[in-house]
Amino acid sequence: MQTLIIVAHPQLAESSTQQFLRQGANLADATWRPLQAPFTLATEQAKLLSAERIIWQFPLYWYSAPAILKSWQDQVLTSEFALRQQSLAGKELGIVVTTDTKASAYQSGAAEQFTLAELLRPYQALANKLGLRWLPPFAIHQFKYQTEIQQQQLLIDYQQYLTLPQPATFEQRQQWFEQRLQQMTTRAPAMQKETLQLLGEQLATNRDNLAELRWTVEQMREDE
Amino acid sequence: MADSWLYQTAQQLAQTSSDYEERAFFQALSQLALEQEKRIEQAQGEIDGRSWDEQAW
Repeated sequence: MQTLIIVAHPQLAESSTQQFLRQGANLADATWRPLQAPFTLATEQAKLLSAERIIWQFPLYWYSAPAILKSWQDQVLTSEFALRQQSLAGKELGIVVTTDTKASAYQSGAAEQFTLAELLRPYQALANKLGLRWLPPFAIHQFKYQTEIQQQQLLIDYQQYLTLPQPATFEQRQQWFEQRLQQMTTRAPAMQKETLQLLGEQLATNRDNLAELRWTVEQMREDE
Repeated sequence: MADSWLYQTAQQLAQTSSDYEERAFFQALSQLALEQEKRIEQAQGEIDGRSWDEQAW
């Protein structure tokens, strides 16, 4: 999966959230591309063409992306390239959005009144227009208030968002861990190899066990 | 569940790995293990429940 992360952030170097996500992107082999004006049309379009999954990643400013993303869209997504040639059709579009507001504020009746899905609708409309498959947005709320364990989980969830089919099933998430364990096993020191291998085997055994139990449940439901 | 070998080992590695990403990986793995075990338990529970209804009495 060729994932291109287009990062729109006016003060990227000072954003601890973005620096944190950058680690995750490197480990997931995704292309990290911070936006910087002026844009070279051919380069920007070539980058888009080489990607299978395009991510627009930004902090939420007044319920939208920072201006540089809009400016990039207006210049790079020309009618000829994006509409007439349908150059991006069949690719995927995901949004990684960060906010300083807690998740529970984004619902009807709460502080922000609207869900993030509603607020991000213009991007969904654009995806629809250009033939891009719209992925469930990935939201990060109040990164700096997260505990270390929450941030660790975030790093892994983010990597999975960049690399797994979306929305990812539990089956796919289990297999992702198994594959990562296999990769780690090959480069681990001898004394750790066995433990990692056993972890992978146990994980796979549990996955098979679960699949079999679920199959039995399905059969029983059908028989009723 | 939380006392399973998979969970315990992943937790231990999450605390002892020297690399941040590895610690994150093992921490998330331990949570996946819990979720896996919970789902296994739920499926077993459903099978037991349905067997009881249909055959026990």
